[in-house]
Parts: sequence; structure tokens; C-alpha cells
Amino acid sequence: MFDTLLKTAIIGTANGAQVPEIDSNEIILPENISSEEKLLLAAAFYGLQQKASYQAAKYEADFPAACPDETDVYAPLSVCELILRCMSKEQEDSIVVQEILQKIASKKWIVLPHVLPQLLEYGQNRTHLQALISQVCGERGRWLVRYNNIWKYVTVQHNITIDWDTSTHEERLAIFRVLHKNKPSEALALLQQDWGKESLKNKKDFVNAIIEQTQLEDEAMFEAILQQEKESDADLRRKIAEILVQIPDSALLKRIENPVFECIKLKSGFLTLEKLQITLPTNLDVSLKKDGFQQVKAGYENGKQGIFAQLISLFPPHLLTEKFKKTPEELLIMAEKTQISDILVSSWEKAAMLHKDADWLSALITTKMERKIITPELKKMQNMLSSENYSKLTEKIAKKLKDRQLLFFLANREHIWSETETNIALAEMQHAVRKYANTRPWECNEFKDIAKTISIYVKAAWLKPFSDILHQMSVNKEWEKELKSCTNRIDLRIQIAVILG
Amino acid sequence: MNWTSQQILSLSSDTGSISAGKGLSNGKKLYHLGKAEDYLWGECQGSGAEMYQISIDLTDGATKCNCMAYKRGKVPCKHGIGLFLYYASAPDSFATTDAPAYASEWVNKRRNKAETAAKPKTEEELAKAAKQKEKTQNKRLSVAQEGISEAITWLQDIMRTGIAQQEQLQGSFGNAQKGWLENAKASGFANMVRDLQDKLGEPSNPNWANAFFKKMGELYFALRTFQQVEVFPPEFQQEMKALAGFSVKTEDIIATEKGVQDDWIVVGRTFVEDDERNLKTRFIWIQGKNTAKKALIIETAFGGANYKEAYTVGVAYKGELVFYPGTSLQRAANKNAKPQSQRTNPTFSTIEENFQDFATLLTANPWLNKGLFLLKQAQLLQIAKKWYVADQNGEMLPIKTQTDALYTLLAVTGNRPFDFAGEWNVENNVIIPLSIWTENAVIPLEN
Repeated sequence: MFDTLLKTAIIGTANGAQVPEIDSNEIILPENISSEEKLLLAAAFYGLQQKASYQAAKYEADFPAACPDETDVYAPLSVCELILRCMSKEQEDSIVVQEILQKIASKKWIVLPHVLPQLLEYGQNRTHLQALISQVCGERGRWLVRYNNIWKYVTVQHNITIDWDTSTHEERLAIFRVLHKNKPSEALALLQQDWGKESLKNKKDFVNAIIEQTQLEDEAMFEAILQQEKESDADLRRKIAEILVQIPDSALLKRIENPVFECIKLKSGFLTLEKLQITLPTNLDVSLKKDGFQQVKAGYENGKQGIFAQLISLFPPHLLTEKFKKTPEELLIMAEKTQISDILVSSWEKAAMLHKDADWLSALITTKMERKIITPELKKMQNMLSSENYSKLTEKIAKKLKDRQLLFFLANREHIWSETETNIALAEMQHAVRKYANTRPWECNEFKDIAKTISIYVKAAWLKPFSDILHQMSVNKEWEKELKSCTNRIDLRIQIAVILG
Repeated sequence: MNWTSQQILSLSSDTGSISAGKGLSNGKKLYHLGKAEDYLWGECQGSGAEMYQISIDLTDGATKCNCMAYKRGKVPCKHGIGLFLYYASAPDSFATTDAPAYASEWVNKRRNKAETAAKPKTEEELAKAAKQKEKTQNKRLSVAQEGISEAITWLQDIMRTGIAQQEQLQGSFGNAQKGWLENAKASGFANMVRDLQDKLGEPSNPNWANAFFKKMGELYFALRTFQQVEVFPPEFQQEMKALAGFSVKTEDIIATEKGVQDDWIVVGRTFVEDDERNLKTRFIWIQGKNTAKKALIIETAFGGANYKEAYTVGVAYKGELVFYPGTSLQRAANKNAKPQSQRTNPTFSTIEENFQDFATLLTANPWLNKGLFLLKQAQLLQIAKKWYVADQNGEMLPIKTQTDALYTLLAVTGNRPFDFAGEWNVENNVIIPLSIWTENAVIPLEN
């Protein structure tokens, strides 16, 4: 009946559509009303009937199984809220997120469930966090993957069946990265089965995924790839070479050892100081090409310097210090006297970062800071050092650097400060406050550095309550005194504002 | 109450304030922080020399700030949101100490205000108010009838010319009629015309003509009923007047109607923003702990005007609500109920029981289009890529929500039974999630 009424309403009574006879058993309408009114009141009846007669559907099967119980302890609410804060668009700070997750993982805590959707999503494009997220997401995080496959990366470490064949490239990449870290042989076996069919881009993605986490097991597969003729892309070969040179005594390392020591020799003469003697390599041969070396046209000597740079930046720098029995600092001083010092030092920087060589990194950072050579690599190198090595370096460098330079150095470090860095920073800040007390804080560059350094410290404040940090600052009597003594000259409130960043 | 960022962000519907508030939530610009038993305070460094002074009442999440945005009606302002979010992630930064005057005075004023509002009017005042109300309503009634007659003729004309022809009018359809009804001070009926406008040729609904025709019928039935409203009992007259959009001052309702004492628990909120009229409306769903009575507080604000109460999901207000006169007795106003800090749970029941409650309401007002459902031990189901919420009897309702809220639901419940509040949308036959109630937390799921 309703459909017939609707048809009439769509066409219109003036256009020849007839109002059907309405069954009075179904709808009782007033008598003597117009056709239009009949239509409208009948529509009202059906509309109201639909509202009142809704029947909920019945679910007859068993309810789906609930998520397994958690055995680990939840992290406190405020810590979870801090993660949410640091993941938000407005306060995004993935370094702090990483630090919080590390802390939670080290305590064997898991995050509260309401954080999970955002955290799993956050880790999706931040591959360096994925292993950590899988540690802190608990059973519930892994269970949630069934509702959003893109979060699959959290299940890899937990012996959950990996459906490699049905996964997309992005999913495979996430699985491969985590699995390679824990079970490299299994990860490489999965990669090998489709390597020949993968596109060049996908191959590069897989290689890049493990360049920071090389394992001994990688050599067999990747050395074999280098030896194959069909892999023609030089960039891919170079990336593979970067993996292989990180493996001690690898075949590639042995292949480049001789060319390196042909190029760079330590010479000492009668009554003359020791010096480095550089001999640029001969032209690129087939063997080097296989290992990803490329002809660089630019520069002097028909690109020989380019081949030299490629060689040095691959070679583990500690093998040079061992061979020449010199410290990195000594070799850096000698390097300055060579004709291609810039190329040599920048190649060593690359090598030190590739091999994460703490001694070389420390020496290179110190040299750059002393010579005020501020490059993006400086910050990168500073943040590659472990906390322990960084503290040692800070102690050493604090004796050589002053004021802004030292604060700049401290501010460059993005990780949580150790006690050493904190104390040095506080002392330096006291010094700066004293020195610049007559200057308006916002006009003083040093104060910006102070603010920056403290803001980093405050950034790490979740480790202890913020009030403790303020307390710690005031425990230092000199600092407190200094602040008070400045009150007359600088508005303390503004100063505190600067200090709190 | 342990405040989570989700609850705090649910206090504002202003995306600009939320975004700017998040920007302040690292605490870098917040100073002189402190807290007392149930409120906290702090100062925020803005662009000027003076810092903004912010206070937050932890019982219900109400905020106060002396910035210009707050004075212009942005409540909570970005400073309030920033300070509150910072508290959620760094509660230890707020030492328990003596409150500054700006915070303690505001909190005391809030507490006292609720008591003052409770003071009853004298009989003489009430009689005078009732007489004035009657006079105003009669005047409005005669004005409204003119617009209503025009609208009835218009609907009949559509039946004459056919719905198909209306589709060609597109943007101009119903504009004149909506204007008549607005001029006739029948904004409720004007809103029903607005609904019709939305349904005409609705691209997302291939059966739009079906819904459009039924909606026309409902409007027609309402207008016809209103034409002879005097013949109905007084309660139904009130219901019809409310449907027509005869506004009644909340203060008058509070002064004249008898209050119902209970612990009134806020179980959910929805928001509607009408850009055309620069109007925002907030629907606050509430249930009484002892009476189990469901209530709906509707608040509207023009432009940047602010809402008076926070009405945070999970907070119970102890005291009296008054119900707007009528037959459905669903819409309510807060007479003197004050937020309590301890958690109180509402009464949850089966889908069938909720439908029974709703059927009673529909009998009283057949034009109702939504109701509060409180489901006990509900579970989520995914069937053929669609989501449902089911009760322990296996009855299930289709759920409509955004993907983010759905993931939160799944994460928080882990597919274990959970108590659930939702808004049953009669027209679309879907339930819109409002909140989840677990042992440890109340999670608002706002749309």
C-alpha cells in the first residue's frame, strides 16, 4: 500500500496520479478530506508505524572470543597520557615517545588500552618504534590487529603466524624488519623466496630496513646477490655493500682492505713528523663495480677522489687506528695536512656513522666543535653516541668549550641527559646567568641557549616528577643564590620563564 | 575522578581551542601550578606581560580563565584545555598548597551559586509569572497559526504537483515556508522543514523519496494537530507547543516546576552546529541513579557564547532537575544539582527493556526522533563488515560511529561485555555510541 501511495505522491494528483483506496482496517482517516490530505496523513501513519515497530535482530551464534587476559602490569595513567600528548599533532615528539616506551618496556609494563589505537597507528609509519610498541602493547594490542591489518607489525615478535604471502609490501616490510631483528634466518628466508620477483624499489626498501640492524646471517644472501650479474642497479649494490662491511671479516671487507691501505699510508722520515700519504686509486675496475662503487665524474683526477671517498666511507675506521697504531684524534690532525683533507674527514664521518664507532665519533665531534664547524652531521653524530660514551665526551669537551659553545653542544643532544650532562648544564647556566645578568634575557642569545638546554631537560622530566627537578635545581645553593642575586637586575619571573623554556 | 585526555578534550567542541590547548599542554608556558582537594589552578604566559590565571574544578571539569577568548564565550579556552591536559600527564607538577584568591573565590562562587539558584520564589511571584506566561503564549499561538496554515497549504500543493517536481527546485525548496514558520515563532516546525530540505534528493540515500514522503506526513500531522491544540489535555498542549518551538525560559521552568531529587549522572553528549544560524546545540543525556529516570538537557548557544555547566560524561550531579511540562517528560533543566566527585553508575538494562521505555515516550510524543539507551553487558559484533551492539539476550542494534571511536571501543573493552550508553536514532534505526562504563573508567565516545 505504501509504495502505491508513494508513487502517487511522486507524480502528483494534478498530474493524473490516483490516490488508491485506503483499507480502513489498516488506517482510519477522517471522512471528507481531500486526496492530498489523505496522502499526507497516510504517510504520517506509515512513518510513525515504522518508528514504533522496529524489531531488533537476533544474534543466535556464540559471541566472539574476548581478548586474552593481560599478565603484565599497566603503566600509570599519567605516563600513558604523556604518550598521547607526545603523539599529538601539536606536541609531536617521537624521540620522547621512544624514550617513554623504552622506559615502559624496561619495567615490563604495558600501556593502558585506551592509548592503543593511537599508538599502533603512530608506529605504522615510524618503523624505529615498532619493536618497542610490540613490547608494550600487551595482548590487547596484538588482538586489535585482527580489526586493522595495518598494525600487523606488533604480532611478529610473538610467534603469531605470519601470512607473508597474503601481505602487502608495507606489511611485509614491517614484518621483515621486526623478524630480522629477532630471528634473522627466518626473515632472510622469507625475503629470499620472492627476491627475484620484487621491484627495484621494494628491494631497496628491504635493504634500507636492515641497514641499521645488520646480522651475521645477512652475509650469505647479500654476498650472493653482489656476485650475481643480473642485479644491475649501482645504488642497490652500494646499500648492500654498506650492510656487508658491517659484518666482521666479511668477504667484502677483505676485498676492500687492500685498496684502502694502498690509498692511505703512514709515512715517517728521518727527522720529520709522521704523516699520512694519500694515493688516489686507479680507475674503477669490474670488481669494485660489483661491490657498488660508482664512477663520479666531478672533481679532480677524473673522479679518482670520488672512488677514494667511497672506499674510505665504507671501511671501518677502527681498522685504520689499529693498523697505524694511532688514535682517531692523531689521525685527524694528520689528515688536516693532506691535500684532500676535506674529502678524507667527511669520508671518515660517514664511516664512523655507518659503523657507529664511538671513539671516532667522539674525536670527530670534538674536532668539529673546536673548529666551530657546524654541519648537520655534527648533530647526527652527537645523537648516535650511547649515553655512557656521550657522558665521557661531555666531561672531556666541557674543559675545552665555553659558554654558548658548550650549551650548543648540550642542546644538540636529543636524548635524555645523564647526571653528568645535567650537572654540567646547570653549572654552565649558572655561569651564564651571572655573566649576562645585566642583559635583558630575550635579547641575549646565550639565554636562548639556556632556555633550549633546559627545555630539553624538562622534556625528559617525566623520568622524575617535575617538582623534583625544580627541587634539584634549588638544592644547588649557588644556583639559587645566583638567581636571587639577579632579582634586582632582572625580573625573576621573566628569568624563570626563560629557564622553563 | 581520574581525568583522561579523552574526557578533557570532550569538554570542548571548538577545534581551534583544542588544537591550541594541546600546544600548551607540555607545560612550558604554565607557571605557579597548584591544587586543592577538588580543584587546581595555574598561570599561562601569553603574548602580553601579564599571565592568564586559570582555575579548573575537578568535580565536573569546569574551567575559568581571565583571557579575552573566555570572556567572549570560548569555554573552555585554550589555556584551560592546556592546563588540564598538562595535569592529566603530569599530576605531580601540581603541588597541594594554599589556593590563590582567583581560584578559591571562583570555586566558592560556583558552589554558592548553585545554592542561591535553589531558593524558591514566593507564591505571589509564581502567580504573576504564570499569568504573564499565559498571556505571552496566547499571543504567540495566534501568530503561529497563521504561519502554520500557510505551511499546510504548501504541503498539500506538493502532493498536487508531485514530489518529483520539487527536486527541480533544489536549493530554493522550502526556503519561503521555513521563513514563514520562523516569522510565526514556530521554530520547531521550521526545523522540520529544514529536515525535509536535507532529505530532498539526498545523494547518500537512493530511497530518499520514501523517507521524504514519510517526513512530510509527520510534519503535516504535527501541523494539523497543532491547529486544534486547544482541544487536547493541558500536558499534550505543552508537548505540542514544545514541538512547535515555543521557547520557554529555563529560569521560568526552574521557578515554576517541581524538582525531582536524585543523583543525575551524565551518560553522554552530542553536539549539533548550525553554521547557517551561527548556533550550536548540546544534547546532554542524563539518568537518575535512584529514579532511573532518563532526562535530556538541551543547551543552545549563539556565536561564541558559552555553556554554563561542563556536564562531563561520568559526573553525577546531586540535587534537583525539573522537567519541561508535557507528556513525554524527557527534556529537563538543572535546578540546583551540583557535581559530585565520586563516581556513580547509571542503571543499565536489555535492548528490549530500553525499547519498552522508549515506546512509552513515543506514545506521549510520536514525533520524538531519539532516545537514550543504556545497555547492560553489551558486546560488539561485526557481521558482513557492519558493526552491531548486542545485549546478553542476543538482540542487536546497528551501530553508527566513526572508525576512531570504534577502535577505542574495541581497545577498551577487548570484546568483553561492557555497559554502554547510546542514542537511539529512530529515523535511521541506528545507535550512536555515547560512552562506555568499565570498572576502571568512563570513556566518552562523542560524535
